[in-house]
Amino acid sequence: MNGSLTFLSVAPEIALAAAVVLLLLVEVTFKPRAWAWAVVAGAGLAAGTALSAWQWVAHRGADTGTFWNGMIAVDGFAALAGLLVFPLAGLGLMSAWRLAASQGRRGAEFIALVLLAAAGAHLMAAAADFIMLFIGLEVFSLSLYVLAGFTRERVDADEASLKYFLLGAFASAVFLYGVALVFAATGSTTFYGDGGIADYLAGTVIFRPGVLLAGLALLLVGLAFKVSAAPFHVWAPDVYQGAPGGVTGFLAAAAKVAGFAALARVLTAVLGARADDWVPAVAVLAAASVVVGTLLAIVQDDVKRLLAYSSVAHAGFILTALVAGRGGVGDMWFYLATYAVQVLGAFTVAAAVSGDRAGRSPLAHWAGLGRRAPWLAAAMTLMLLAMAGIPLTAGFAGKVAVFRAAIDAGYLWLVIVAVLATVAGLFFYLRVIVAMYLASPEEGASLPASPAVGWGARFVLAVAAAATLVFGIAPWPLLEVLRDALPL
Amino acid sequence: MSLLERLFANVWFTAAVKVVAAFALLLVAVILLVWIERKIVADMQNRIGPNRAGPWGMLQTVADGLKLLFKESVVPRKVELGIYLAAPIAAMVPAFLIFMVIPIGRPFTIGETAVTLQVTDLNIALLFVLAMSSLAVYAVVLAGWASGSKYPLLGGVRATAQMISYEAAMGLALVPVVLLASAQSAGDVGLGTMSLSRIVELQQGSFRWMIPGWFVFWLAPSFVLYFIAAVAETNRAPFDLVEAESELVGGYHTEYSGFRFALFYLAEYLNMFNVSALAVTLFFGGWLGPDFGLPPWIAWVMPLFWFFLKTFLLVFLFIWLRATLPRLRYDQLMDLGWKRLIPLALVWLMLFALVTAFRTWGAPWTEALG
Amino acid sequence: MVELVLFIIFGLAALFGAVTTVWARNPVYSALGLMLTLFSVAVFYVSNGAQFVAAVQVIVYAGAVMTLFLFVIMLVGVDRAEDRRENLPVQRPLALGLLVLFGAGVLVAGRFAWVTGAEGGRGAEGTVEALGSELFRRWVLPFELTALLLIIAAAGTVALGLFRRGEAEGGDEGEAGEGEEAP
Repeated sequence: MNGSLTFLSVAPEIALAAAVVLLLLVEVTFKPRAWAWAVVAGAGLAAGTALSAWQWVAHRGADTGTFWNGMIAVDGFAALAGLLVFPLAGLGLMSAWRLAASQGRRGAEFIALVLLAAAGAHLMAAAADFIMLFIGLEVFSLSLYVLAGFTRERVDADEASLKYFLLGAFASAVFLYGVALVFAATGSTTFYGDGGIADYLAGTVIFRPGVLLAGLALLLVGLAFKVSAAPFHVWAPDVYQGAPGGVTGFLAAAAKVAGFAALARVLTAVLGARADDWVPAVAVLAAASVVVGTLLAIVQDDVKRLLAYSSVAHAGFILTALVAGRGGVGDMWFYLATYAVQVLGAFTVAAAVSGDRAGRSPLAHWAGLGRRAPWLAAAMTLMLLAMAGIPLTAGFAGKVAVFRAAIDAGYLWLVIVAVLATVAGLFFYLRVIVAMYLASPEEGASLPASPAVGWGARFVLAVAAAATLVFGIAPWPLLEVLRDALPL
Repeated sequence: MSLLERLFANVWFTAAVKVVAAFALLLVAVILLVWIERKIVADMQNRIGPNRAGPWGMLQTVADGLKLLFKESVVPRKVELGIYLAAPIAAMVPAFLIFMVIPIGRPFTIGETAVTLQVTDLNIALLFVLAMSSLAVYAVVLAGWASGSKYPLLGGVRATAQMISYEAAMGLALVPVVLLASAQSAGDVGLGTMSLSRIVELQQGSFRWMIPGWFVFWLAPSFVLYFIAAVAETNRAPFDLVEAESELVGGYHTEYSGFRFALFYLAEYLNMFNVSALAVTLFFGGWLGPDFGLPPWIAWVMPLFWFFLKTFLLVFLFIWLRATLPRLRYDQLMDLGWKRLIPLALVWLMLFALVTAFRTWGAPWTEALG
Repeated sequence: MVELVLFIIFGLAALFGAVTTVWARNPVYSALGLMLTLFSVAVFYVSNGAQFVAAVQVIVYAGAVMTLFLFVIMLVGVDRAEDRRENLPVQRPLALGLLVLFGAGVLVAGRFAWVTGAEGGRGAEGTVEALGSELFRRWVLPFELTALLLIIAAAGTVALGLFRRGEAEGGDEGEAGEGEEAP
C-alpha cells in the first residue's frame, strides 16, 4: 500500500475543500439566502463524516496504511478523528448559525473557514509526515485566527485574533524547529514505513540524542500550545473571551481535538521508542495544566474566561491519559470526545446568554438565569457538572478512564494532583451554577434581553446533553470501541 | 594559441571584457533610445523634435547627459541621506544585471574557446530576470521615501502596489514559455530549461511552412500579457502613475537633480530596453534570423543586427503606447492587474498546460496518465 | 577561495542585516535590514548550488514580501520612530542571557556533533528539474494542500477586510443579532 496514490485516503479533505469552493463560488455568483450556505456546508460535512465512517469501518484496529508517499495515514485513529471533528464542525456551525447569518455576505466566508478548520483538524490527525502535519496545523490554525476576530466591531475581538495569531505563529515556528531537529537526528520527516522516524528510532540506539531530544521538546511545546496546556496556555483566556460568543465553542473544541490527535500520534506512534524521554515531560505538563487551570479559574468573574481556564485544566486531564503511552490513547479519545461536546455546549449557552457577537460574559449576566431561561440553565448546569466530573456524567467516566490509565502507567502522584484539582475545580463550576439559580440580577444591571436561542443552538444543546448523559451512564461500549482507534 | 585565445580562455578576463562591453553597449543603446523616442513622439505630435546637436539631433542625449553631469546636485535638507544617495544606484544595478543573462548573438569560438555573447549563461536565467526586475522597485520606493517629501512618497507607495500587482501577472505570463521550452526540447515535459540561450536555440526551425519557430506563434497570449505587465513594471505610460507629472510633480524623483536624476532617467530606458530584449529572447527568437548566405565576415554580424532590430521594434511599441494612450486612473490600474491580467494569465496557463500535456502524453481518454 | 570570501562578506552582511532589523528605530531601516539578510542568504544558496531556491528567495521575499512590508510601513506612517520603553524591564537582560545560553548550546552541540541519524534526503541539486520532480512526485500532496492555505488567506482577507461598522446588522434572515457592544 505504501506509495500508492489514492484519492480515497484524502477523500474527507476533498469533500470539504469541494464544499468550500462551491460555497464561495455560489456565494459570489448567486448571492443566495443563508439556507443555501447551510445546504452546501451540511453536504460537505456529511460527506466528510460518511467518508470517515467508511474509513473507520474499513480500517479500525488495523495497522496504519500510508498513502501519497507516506504523507497521509489511513487508520482507525485518523478515521475516528474525522468522525469526531466533522460532526463537531457541524454542531459548531449550528451553534454559530445566528452569528453567521447576521454577518451579511461575510457569513459565507465564516462557514468556509469553519469547514477549512475542520479539514485542517482532520489532516493533523491523519498526517503521516511532519510536513503534512505542519500544513494541517497551519490550515487549522489560520482558519481559527480569522474566526476569532470575525466580528470586528469589538476591539477585544481584534485583540483576541491578533494575540492568537502572533502567539500561534510563534508556536508554529517552534514546532517547525522541532521538526527540523528531529529530521536532523533521524534523517526523515515521515512517520511510518522503512526509513521513517518510528522505524529508525526503533532500530537504532542513539548514543547522543541531544538533537533528537531538543527536537522532541520543541515539538511538544508547539503542540502543547495548540491544546493550551500550561505553561503554554496564556493565549487561551484572552482568545476565548475576545472571540465572538457563537464561535468560541467550536474554537475550543476543535483546537483540543486536533491538537491532541496530533500530539497522540506524534508521541505514541512516532516517538514511541523514546517514551522514557517524553513521558515525564508530559506528566509535568499535565500536572502544571491541571493546577494552573484550576487555580486561575477560581478567581475569574467572566464565564467565558472561566471556561478558558477550565479548558487548560482539561488539557491537563487529557495529557494524563497520554502518560500511559499507547495504552492511554483510547481513554484520551473518550475524554476528548466527551469534553469537546461539553465545551461546545457550554459556550453555546454562553453565546445565548451574553450574545452571539459579544466577547465578555460576566457572571452578572448569569444571575437568575434559572428563572429567566430554565432550559438553558439546566443545560449549562449539566455541562458544568460533567466538566467538574460528577458521577453519571460523561465527564466522570472520562476522568476515571484517564486516571486509571495514568495509574497503570505508574504515575500515582500525577493522579493525586489531578484528583485534588478536580475537587478544587468543583468550586468554580458550582459558582456559576449558584449564580444561575440562587442569585438574582442586580438592580439596574444592564442584562442582555431575554436569551435568544436559535434552533441550531437548541439542537446542539440537546445533542450535548444526550451525549453527556448517555456516555456518563454507560461509557463502556464507547470505551471499548475507542480501543480500535490507535495510531499503530 | 594566439594571444587572444589565451586571454579568452581565462574566465576572469572574459568576464571583465563582457561586462565592460555589455555596459558600453547598453549605454549606447540608451542614448539612441532616448533620441529615437523623442523623435518618434515628436513626429506623432506633429513636432520636429531635437534637431540641433549632431546629425538629426542624434547627439542631443549626449548633450543632455553632459549638462546633467555638470549641474549642481541639490540635496534637500529633510532627506534620509544614505538611502537618498543609494536609491539612484539601486535603480541602475538591477537594470544592468538583467541584461547580463540575455544572449545577444550567436556564440563564436576563438580557437578552442567558445565565447557566448552574453555575460553569463545561468541555468535559471528566467527566474534571475524576474528576481532582478522585482528588485527594481526598491529604487523607486526608497527614493520616494528617503526624499522626505509628499509627492515622492506618494509615488513610492504607488510603485510598490503597482509592482507587486504586475509582477504576478508577468511571472504567470512567462510560465507557458518554460512549458513550451520543455516540450520543444526533448518532447518530454520534465526536461525543461530556464536558460535564455537554450530557449533561443529551441526557437530554431519553423512553426509552419515559412514561419519561423518563434515561441510567439504558440504563445501569442503570453506575449500580450507579458508586454502589458512589462509596460507597467517599467512604469511607462500609460502606467506611469509613479511619476505622473500632472498629479505628483515628478513622482519619486521630484527631489532629485543633476546626475542622480540622470541615473533614474537612464534606468527607466534601460528597463525598457531590457524588457524588450527579454521579450525578443523569449518570444521572437532572440538573435535568430536569416543571414541570406552572406560572406562569413558579415554574416557574423547578422545575429546582432536581428537582435537589435527586433528589440528596437518592440521599443517602438513602447513609445507608440506612450504617445497614444492616456494614463490610467489608479483604481483602473489595480483593476486591470488583479481582475483581468492575472485571471487571464492563469486561464491561459491552464489551457496551455493541458494542450501541452495532451500533445506529450496523448489525451487522457486514449491512455492512462503515467 | 572565492566561496570563502563570498561567505565571509555575505555572512557579515546577513548578521548586520539581522541586527539592523531588530535594532533600527525606523521601521524602514528594519525592513531594509531584513532584505539585506534575505539577500545574503540567497547568496549562500547559490554557493551551495541551490540556484533555484536562491532565485525564488529573491523573488518572493525580497521582491514581494519586503515590498509589501514597505508598502504597509509607508501607509501606516513613516515618521513615527519606535517607542523603546519597555513594560517588562527584565526582558532585555533575560533575552541576552538566553542568547548567550543558546550560543553556548550551539557551540557545544557543534563540538559533539550530535547530529546523528540516517543520511538525509539527497540534496536536490538545485536545478529546476530536480526540485520540480521532488515537488510534484514525492511531495505532491502537501504541495497541493497548500492550496487550502491560499483559500483561507483569500477568504480570511475578504472576511476581515469587508467588515464595515454597522453593516454587519441586517442579516439575510432579516433579524439583527443582539450582539451589544462590550464595555
